[in-house]
Amino acid sequence: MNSIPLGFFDWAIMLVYFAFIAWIGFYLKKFTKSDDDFFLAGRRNSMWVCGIAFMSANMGSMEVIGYAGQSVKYGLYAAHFYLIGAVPAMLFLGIFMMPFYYHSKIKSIPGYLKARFNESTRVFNAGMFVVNMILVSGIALYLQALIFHTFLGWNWDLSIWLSAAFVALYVTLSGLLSAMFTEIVQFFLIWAGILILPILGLVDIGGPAEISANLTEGFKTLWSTSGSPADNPMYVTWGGLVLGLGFAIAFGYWTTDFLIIQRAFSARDLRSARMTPIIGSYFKLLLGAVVVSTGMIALVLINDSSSGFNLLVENGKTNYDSVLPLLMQRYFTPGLIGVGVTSMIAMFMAGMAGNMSSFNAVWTYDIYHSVINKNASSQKLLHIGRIATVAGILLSVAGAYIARSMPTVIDYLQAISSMFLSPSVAIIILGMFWKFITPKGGLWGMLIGTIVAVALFIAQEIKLIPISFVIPDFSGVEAESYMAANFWRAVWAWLISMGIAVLVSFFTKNKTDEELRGYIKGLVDKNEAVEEKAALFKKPEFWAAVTLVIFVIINILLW
Amino acid sequence: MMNTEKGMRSIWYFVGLIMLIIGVIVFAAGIYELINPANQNIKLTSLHTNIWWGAIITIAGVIYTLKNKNKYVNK
Repeated sequence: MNSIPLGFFDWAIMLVYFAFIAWIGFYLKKFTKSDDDFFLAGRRNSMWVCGIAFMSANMGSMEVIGYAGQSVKYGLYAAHFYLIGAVPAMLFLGIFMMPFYYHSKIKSIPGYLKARFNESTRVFNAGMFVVNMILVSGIALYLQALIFHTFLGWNWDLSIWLSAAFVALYVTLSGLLSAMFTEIVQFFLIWAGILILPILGLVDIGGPAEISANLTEGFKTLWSTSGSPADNPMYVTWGGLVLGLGFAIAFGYWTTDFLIIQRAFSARDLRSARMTPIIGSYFKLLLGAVVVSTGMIALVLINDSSSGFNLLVENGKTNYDSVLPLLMQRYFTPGLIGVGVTSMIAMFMAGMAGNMSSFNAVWTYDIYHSVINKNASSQKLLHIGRIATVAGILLSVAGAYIARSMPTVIDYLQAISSMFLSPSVAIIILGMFWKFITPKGGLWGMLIGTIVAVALFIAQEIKLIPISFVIPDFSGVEAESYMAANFWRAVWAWLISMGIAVLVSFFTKNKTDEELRGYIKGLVDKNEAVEEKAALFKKPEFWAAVTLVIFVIINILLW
Repeated sequence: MMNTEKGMRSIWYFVGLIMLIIGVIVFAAGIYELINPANQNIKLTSLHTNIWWGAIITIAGVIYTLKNKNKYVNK
């Protein structure tokens, strides 16, 4: 029996939270008067508001609950998702890519692709984004159901459907303005719920030295065992980590995923937009420290049979994602358990509201308005957006059941990223920095890259090809190489997309310089190319350099 | 109390307010538990985490609320 009785104080905290979020939504409704208010929160937000909302949209349940589970499974290797799998891409977005995104005044990433390439590229990318969003929302829904299942003892089906119904109610009421407001409130609640957990865990096990003393080399270092896949718990080499996770997957997510970048588009000026992911990178590092240390504390407890701590086991399968709820159950006293459960609900709400609001925007504007009904009125679009919310949530329920069947949700998430995000990033970065790429080159590169990645994934799942087919440095252990396959599949998708784009560009017609002005490096409007003069400590480059130094130091210390 | 003519309240005011309310509830739970110790299988109860963590959240909430009480974002 894993459920725990929530007391009066715990229910009071949850009640306050729901009432507060509803009150904010109601309060903000009267300030939402235009399309810009609804989709871009009025383009008037400070860098702190954008940076925290950016990070909060990323701090969904899978980033915290899912990666805590990863830390139990993979030890310190899970920290790569917060380091090489995040920081370089976030800084690249802030320093090099944001000026093109922000100046072009686009409302979505598919919108940029239309401006840089053509309508077909936009629609194809929007389609991939919609599928990706549904699958990712399925993971969030599954994790929310896990909380209800673990803490309240409800059965899985009831938990998944109840979570879906609540999201449908919440998301249909809010635009980006209220979504960002609640994301910021939720950001602080999430920290209130999780920051205390590793502190209590370290007191319980006897300090950080116990982690080092109780774990083998492969579980407590970042790179020293990455020379051979058999030496580390992720069964991956440094090549897969750097090329697959660090480039193909991380750049795909952080530089082209509209869900998080939408927050930076709402900034009041370019400097604030560029600072958005850079501020986010500091919180990402802190989040990594909290989540990974929590998972490793759980690992020490599991290895110590006298601790009485074990993960949930269902149908003979260990549920790694149960680690965070179970640790809260172990340490949190009345009141705190209310904060803990509320913080997990907040993670879900922040992530899911972001998923659904970006899903609605892309579906309504980049697919429905662009392909199905070009003459739709504003009222019609609003109606379609609402229907899309309900349909999207129903599809997410299906995604939740798929997520439940995976070893851990992050395995599933990285499989999705490898298929849908890496072809996008290959084409966007190539198109943004190289004028030579033609509209047809961009379209065919993205199309073929995605088809190959999806075909490889399906062939692997139905055992048509062995998992070693995609992994050049295969460890020899099929069952443990799922994550390595995700990383390498992303690399192949990225390389094929780029290769096809370049090849097709040799034989097809390009746009003129005038048509491309403002959308690629080297062709920026003169008015917009003027960099504001600012003190050193106000420059995005300065703060990006500081993050980079911290990133390098962490990697060396934990080598 | 809510005057829309002044504009929209600063987001930091809302952050402060919810931290304050939740911090007070956690702190109160800690005090209640001190008087009526819970008979549960929870580790490290002797640290009374809910008292000091509740106090920290409350103080952060008070600072944010008071600092941003009169701040509005003009539309």
